[in-house]
Amino acid sequence: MRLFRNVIAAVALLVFSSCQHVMAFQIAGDTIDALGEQFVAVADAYERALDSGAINSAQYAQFAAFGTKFEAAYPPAVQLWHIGVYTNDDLLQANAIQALENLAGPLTQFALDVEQAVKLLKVTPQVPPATQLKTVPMLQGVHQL
Amino acid sequence: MTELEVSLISGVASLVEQIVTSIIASTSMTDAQKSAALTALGAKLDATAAKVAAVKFRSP
Repeated sequence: MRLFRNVIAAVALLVFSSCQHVMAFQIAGDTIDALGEQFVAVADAYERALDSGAINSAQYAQFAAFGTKFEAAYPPAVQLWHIGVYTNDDLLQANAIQALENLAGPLTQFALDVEQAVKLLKVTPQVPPATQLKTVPMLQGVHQL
Repeated sequence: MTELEVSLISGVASLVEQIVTSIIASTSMTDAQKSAALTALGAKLDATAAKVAAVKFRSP
């Protein structure tokens, strides 16, 4: 799914081509902020999905490996944004966006994956009906004793 | 259209809406207001960066 990544690329292009610095800074900042918020939300979803059994530890580890890269890339992007505002430099703003562009696509894919896993868990019963039937006579037997 | 597609599109639409709102707002601002808006956005970005850094992953 490349939709989100395409939006990021379009924003980068807009920032490059924009002649109004303040507007470009605002757009770049909003985009970086939205990506950060999305990452925090997806990370929270993976924690809950692991606890509920919707995903296994290997799936969690895949996201954790990606998350480590994202966490390393995010602060420099924010710093570039600050420096760009301070120096009134559009190019730095665009660089801040591009630093995160390659991570936006995978982040969206991880979001879709965990959402689908949670959805599958909801429609799949965790305890098979046959197991439930077997335990009922045993419990009845205990009461009779 | 699946529920997942709707969710993704609404997320992207939200970002686009935020950008358009920023464009409209910044065109009618004075220089002082623009400066204040950027300062506020900078603080918001720092707060988000702190939240990103606070995300911890469990070891296998």
